[in-house]
Amino acid sequence: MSMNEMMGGHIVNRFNDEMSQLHGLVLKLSELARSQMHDAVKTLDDEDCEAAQVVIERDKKLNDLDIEADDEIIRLIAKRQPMAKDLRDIIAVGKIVSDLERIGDQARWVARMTIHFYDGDKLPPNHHLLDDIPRMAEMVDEMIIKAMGAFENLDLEQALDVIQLNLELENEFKSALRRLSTYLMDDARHVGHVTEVVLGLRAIERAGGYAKNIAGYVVFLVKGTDVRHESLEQVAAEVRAEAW
Amino acid sequence: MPNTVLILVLLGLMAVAYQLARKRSLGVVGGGAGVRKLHSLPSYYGFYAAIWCGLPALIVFGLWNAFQSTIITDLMVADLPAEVRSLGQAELGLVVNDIRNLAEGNITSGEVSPEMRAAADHYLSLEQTSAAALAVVVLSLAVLGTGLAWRLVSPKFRARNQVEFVVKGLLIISSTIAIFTTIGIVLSVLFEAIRFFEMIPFTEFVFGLDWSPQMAIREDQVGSSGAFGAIPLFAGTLLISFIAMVVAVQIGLMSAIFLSEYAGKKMRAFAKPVLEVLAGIPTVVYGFFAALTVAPFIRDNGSLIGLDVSSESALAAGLVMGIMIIPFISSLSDDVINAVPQAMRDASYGVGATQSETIRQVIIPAALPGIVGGVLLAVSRAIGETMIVVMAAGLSANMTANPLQSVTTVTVQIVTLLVGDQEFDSPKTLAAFALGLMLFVVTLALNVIALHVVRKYREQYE
Amino acid sequence: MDTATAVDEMGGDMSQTVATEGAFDHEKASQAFVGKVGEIAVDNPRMTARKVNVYYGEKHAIQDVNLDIGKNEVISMIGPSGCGKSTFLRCLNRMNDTIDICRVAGEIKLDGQDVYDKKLDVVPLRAQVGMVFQKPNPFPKSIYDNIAYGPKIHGLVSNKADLDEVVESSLRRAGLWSEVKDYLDQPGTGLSGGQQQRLCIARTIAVSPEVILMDEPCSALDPIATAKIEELIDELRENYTIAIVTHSMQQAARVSQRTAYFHLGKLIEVGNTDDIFTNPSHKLTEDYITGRFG
Repeated sequence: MSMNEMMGGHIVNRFNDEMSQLHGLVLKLSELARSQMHDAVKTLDDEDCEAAQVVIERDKKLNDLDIEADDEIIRLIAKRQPMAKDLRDIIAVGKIVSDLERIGDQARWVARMTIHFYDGDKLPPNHHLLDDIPRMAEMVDEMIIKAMGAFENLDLEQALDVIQLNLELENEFKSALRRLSTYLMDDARHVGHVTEVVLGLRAIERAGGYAKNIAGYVVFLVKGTDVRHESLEQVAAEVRAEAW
Repeated sequence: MPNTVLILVLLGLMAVAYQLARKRSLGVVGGGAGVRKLHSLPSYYGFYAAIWCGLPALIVFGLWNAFQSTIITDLMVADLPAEVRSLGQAELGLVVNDIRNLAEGNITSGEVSPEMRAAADHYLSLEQTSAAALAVVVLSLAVLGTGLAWRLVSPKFRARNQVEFVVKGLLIISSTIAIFTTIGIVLSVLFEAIRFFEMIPFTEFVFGLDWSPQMAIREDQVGSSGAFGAIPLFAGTLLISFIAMVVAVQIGLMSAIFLSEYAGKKMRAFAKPVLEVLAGIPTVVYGFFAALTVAPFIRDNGSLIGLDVSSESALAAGLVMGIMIIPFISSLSDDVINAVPQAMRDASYGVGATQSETIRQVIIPAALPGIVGGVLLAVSRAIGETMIVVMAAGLSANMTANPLQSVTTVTVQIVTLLVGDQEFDSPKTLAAFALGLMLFVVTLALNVIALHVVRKYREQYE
Repeated sequence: MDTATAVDEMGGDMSQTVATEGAFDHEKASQAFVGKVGEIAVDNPRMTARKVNVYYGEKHAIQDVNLDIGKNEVISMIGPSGCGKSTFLRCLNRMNDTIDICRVAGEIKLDGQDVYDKKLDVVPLRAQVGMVFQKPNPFPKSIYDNIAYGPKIHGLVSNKADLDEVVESSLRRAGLWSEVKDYLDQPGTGLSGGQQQRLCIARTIAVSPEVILMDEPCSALDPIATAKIEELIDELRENYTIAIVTHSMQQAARVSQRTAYFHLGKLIEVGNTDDIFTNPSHKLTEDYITGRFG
């Protein structure tokens, strides 16, 4: 089943148009969320406080899009009274949109970290403290790409990949925490920086969690079951089960 | 020019006027593409011109012909010698008639005098002049009218509205013709009846129990005084109608129920037209069937069980009349029963009613207004029926409720009163008009009631 | 056919139809449809229909429909026009008997008793399985007589006081009593459309049926009247079993516990209303309720 078939085919063509418009909005949001995360991490690398400020400012745009999508969803429900997969689609889109917006919020955390580190005459942090951030951010980016790919193509295998990636991300996060604690034991003066970094890593890890939720919504959209709180194996079993 | 030719020419002119105005309407807007600029379609301009061409001319033509002969006659009389003019009204009329006959080449009643010949010639010449003048006036009116209409053609001119106004006028005239005819008939009957009531008191007519409408020609004739009590006639009418309705309502209604509720499609397609054939049989045929077959049958069977049945009985006439009326009731009832919505039947079956319960408690009550209307129409038909009664029920005006005796009805008496040569100032003849008036009042009342019933309940289940 | 092969065929069928991109032929899909339709049986059935086939002359209007109607449940039947849902409904109390060319085969039982049994009289059956129609069809009688009609012909009451009581309680249950109690002698046809329909429901209730069949009962009514009828249906569920045919999917979703989807004379899917309207199993069902054909 393709996305086109998912949204299209209504007798009322206007409904098709509205659905694809809504999906377009979701894709736009996901692109924006990704670039926010990417740019935020880059400001850290560049030690560029001005760029970090730009990222923070740009989060407003993400919020506006989120609200726009919510309005559109309410209008659609009121006007079209969607049923079955249309209903699931619209509900899933609503949740995906708000999770994408939250990913943007996490990117803002990272950008704020740049400002905390490099604004003013404070001592900049040891570069090794930041080693984990770009790598984890890249993983999150891949998860968002895959989650959106799963959403666009109703590809549940990709959705499973996202859930798998999330497990890896969580492991990354744990080992990063362990590494940070060794720095702390080395020199207790790192404590201020380490705390900041932990918060930044935590933000990225949560962004990954949102991406995983998006994958879960895609499973809900296609299969009609909510798998957000199930293990990968359970989800995989759910995804691969035939409908009777 | 003879009138027929004149009319034909006028029609031709109207056609020409139509074409001219139509062309001109297209012309003023520059051909077919400009039609949208015209207020009305081109044909309306055509009709408008044709009406202007034909209508005034026809009106003049009609009036002219209506008054022509009087005017010409008056002119001719004015030219007659003084001694003829001084004759009395009646004699003058005779002379004028002779002259007219002479002019038209018919046989005259007396010798043809030179004066009369001259008068006839005069009459003829007047007639010719009149005809010529009529032709000139009519044709010039037609041309004038066409010219007027032609000049009026312009894109703004509302030809359609004008044409529709004229058409509406025609429709009104047509509809009033029926009304005025009815009023005319009523009035003529009424005036004659009033003349009758001047001779015979109204109360005697309406409440009198004896009917023997002969008038003495000589003073000393036996039975010289007629009796004009209409009660026996109405009693007879009611008796026969009652018998007829008993027969017709039962058989008609039941056959209607059978046809609409129980009969299959094929049965219905066959039986309904056959029943309606009954309505197509001439009443005369019913009449001799009643007189020659049914009446003797009843008499013979009556005597078998010791009843004294006269050879012309109300029963025979009523039975046959009932048969005749069956299709009225069955056909109308069948229609109204069929018009009861299927939803009513579904509703009744849906709560578990049987077919007969449904028919009795839902369908018949729902169809009742229509059935009653049909029955009342049939009653007025029965009251007005003549032929069967003349043949089968006899002419003697008995006051009786016994259906085995012969009775007579209002219509039969009207027939007997008016058959043959009559003098129109004797109460005997005028009695027919009084009876007719009464009959008219009764049937009118029945029809009004029938229409009222039908209208009041018609839409109840919708 | 055992379940496993049924599922196999189903699966194969589905993927095939999905493979043909763009133009999904619903008619073909329905004609080719063989397989599981969901849980047709219920624990506590009031009526059971098995292998029901209906023919209108040559036309095969209903094909092999199996369906249970449970006690005190509202089951709704949906589907595009001409799918056989009304025909099936009318089979349940043999209203199709009044149509000459209609022939019904298969088995329909009410509380274990075959309703098409030759020995069974259709009259008490129709009292047990009442029917409410699409267009409100009160008799052209007074409101009182409309309700009293059924009890009278079935001899359910012996005197006027009993009849009064039946009329009142029926009207009360139909939620109409307070609106009409002062006008019982007025013609039922003078009521508004929604009131007329509730009058018809009261008339049906008056003969104490076990099952009430409703054939698009709200299609001629405005939204407020519709809401009142829907509320009434919900209340009646306590005492009666209700099967309702409706064109409004929202209505089916609102009033029923189970929903059956018919297409071209076949029962395609039946299941809990909650599932049917959020996650139907069949593409035909899904495409119909999401407004992709029909």
